[in-house]
Amino acid sequence: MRPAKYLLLIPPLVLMLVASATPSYRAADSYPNLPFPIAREPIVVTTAGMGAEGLIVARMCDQLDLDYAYLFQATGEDLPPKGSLIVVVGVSPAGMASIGTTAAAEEQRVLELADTAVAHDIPLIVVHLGGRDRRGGLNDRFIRDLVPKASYVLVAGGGNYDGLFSRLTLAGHIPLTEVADINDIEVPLNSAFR
Amino acid sequence: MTSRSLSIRLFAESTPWPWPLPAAVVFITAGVWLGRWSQPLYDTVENLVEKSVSSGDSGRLIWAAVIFVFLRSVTMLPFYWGALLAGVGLPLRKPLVQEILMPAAVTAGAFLLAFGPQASDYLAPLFILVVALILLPDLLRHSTLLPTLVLLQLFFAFLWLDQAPAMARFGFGRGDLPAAIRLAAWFLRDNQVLDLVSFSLFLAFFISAISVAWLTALGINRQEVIRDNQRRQLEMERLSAAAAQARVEKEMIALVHDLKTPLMTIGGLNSLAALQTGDETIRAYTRRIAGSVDRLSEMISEILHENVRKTVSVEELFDYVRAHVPVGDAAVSFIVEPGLPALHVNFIRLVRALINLIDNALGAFADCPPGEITVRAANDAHGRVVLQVSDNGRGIAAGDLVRIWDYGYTTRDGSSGLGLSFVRQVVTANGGTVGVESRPDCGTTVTVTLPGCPHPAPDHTKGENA
Repeated sequence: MRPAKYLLLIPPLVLMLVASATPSYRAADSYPNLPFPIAREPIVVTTAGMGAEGLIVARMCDQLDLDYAYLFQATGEDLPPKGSLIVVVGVSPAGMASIGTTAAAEEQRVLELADTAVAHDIPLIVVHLGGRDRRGGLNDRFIRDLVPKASYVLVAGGGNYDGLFSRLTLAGHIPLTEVADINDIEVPLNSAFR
Repeated sequence: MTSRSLSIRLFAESTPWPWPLPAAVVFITAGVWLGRWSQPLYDTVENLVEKSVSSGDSGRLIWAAVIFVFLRSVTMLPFYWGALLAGVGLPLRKPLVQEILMPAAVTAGAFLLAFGPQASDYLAPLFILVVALILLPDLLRHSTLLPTLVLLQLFFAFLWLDQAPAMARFGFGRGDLPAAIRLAAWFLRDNQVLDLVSFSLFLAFFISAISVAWLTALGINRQEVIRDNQRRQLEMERLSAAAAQARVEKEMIALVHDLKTPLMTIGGLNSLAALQTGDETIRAYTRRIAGSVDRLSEMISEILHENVRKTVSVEELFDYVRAHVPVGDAAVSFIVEPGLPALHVNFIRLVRALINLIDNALGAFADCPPGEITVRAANDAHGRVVLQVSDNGRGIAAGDLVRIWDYGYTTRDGSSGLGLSFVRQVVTANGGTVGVESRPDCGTTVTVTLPGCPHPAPDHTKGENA
């Protein structure tokens, strides 16, 4: 074992330092919570990408005693006569594989759902909990497609590290709340309904 | 059980191992197949995460992490194994390429091939690769089992870092399922529990991996020291034998040289006696004495000087050898084909070499029933004289055959191990070659090939008998 081999540790250590130096949370353009409700119950909670975050938001609704239904494969037919729609963005290849759907089919389902909500004037709340790990690729496509149609956007865990949510919400005059911890999202989520 | 007995040797010390590359291809192919085959098993992890969120049970979350670490380790292990084998097995000259660049490139390619969508989760695999490249190539040259154990422990260690929520800010656990596990832990407010479990298991596996690697390296070094000591001891014994032989030869040459003085006195007085006598019978005796003195003088010269040659017939050579063969239980027969060319050789030394060969053949019947020894002389197509000493004794083991010509090497008790070395020295000095064929329990044939001499051998017996 030659001592020079220990130099091999430098690249992964540098990558660690770079990752830790990147800002993980920015609070710019963020409301702490909504001053008045913008949505009503009952709620349909679904995911965009079959990540486990959808279930987490459903459990939060449960804890907030909101009237909700968690439909991970909700379609436009499930919306009326519901009062609002929460779409939790988080693409999980394992989640999509486990129910046998594809990225294209999932994208089509979510866009149809959002369009139905807009068509029926049902408030759409977009939630992003996964931080940097749920960004890029299909996640960003969902964000670009859904946020302009949203009534309220909630981001946790540094998911807005590159300002994408800020730009989209500013352009559409959509209220954005950004929090550090995913459990901090309960208060602003509640403010959308009460 | 020692680590040595546990291990399978990959590489012989002097010859390259022929199967690392095919093995690497098999491992990488198996890894690709295993990666695809195991995808449905990751559903179990997904289900456990969802159940833990639904029920608020953090135990299920930790169980999901355990299953994920195990599945990921098992599916990635063949890639790393194949990559390391590909690097170590290729006959590349530069260690940097062989031990680092090649395995790293193969691992990266195989990783992307197998985990395309999850390839963003690279930090833990990168650490595993780097630590494996530091620890394993040297160990892989000596064993396979213990390096595999080290590699598996490295997987368990670093993949547990992927599960620790506190390590997320350093870029660990960017894959789909580690992210889901971490989110669930944050939601359940069990992130500190998961951190504690992850760091504890990381430390346990990492320390264990380093310890096994260190102990294996220590064992390998110890074995190399033992082998070096054995080699040194053998070399010392060889040098001692050579020194003893040199002393014996020096003494013998001094003794033989001392014979010249009385021999010259005998020759001189014999000439004087021949001049002073008129008796024809006495004169005939003095001529025979003079002939014998001349022959003895020649013999002394041949003993003292290796490059002294004389032309002799094969029959004369065999007669002389026959007279000096020790009497034993084995029957020694001499066969000379007619019409053989004469030999121009150092007679006395060649006789001694043939006697050594016959003496070795007699030794082949130790602990065996008496057998037969045949000393045969023939010529080959190139006009060379071929002398063969064959026996039907116990033969020589294949492992010993390559070393029997070494100075001081012997397989018999009480033998100096110098005889065959002397034979080769004499035959080579006389422009010939020597070879041996042997099969255990069937016998041995030593073949000496010497150049034939175009001039016939003078009849030495005439001078003595005249």
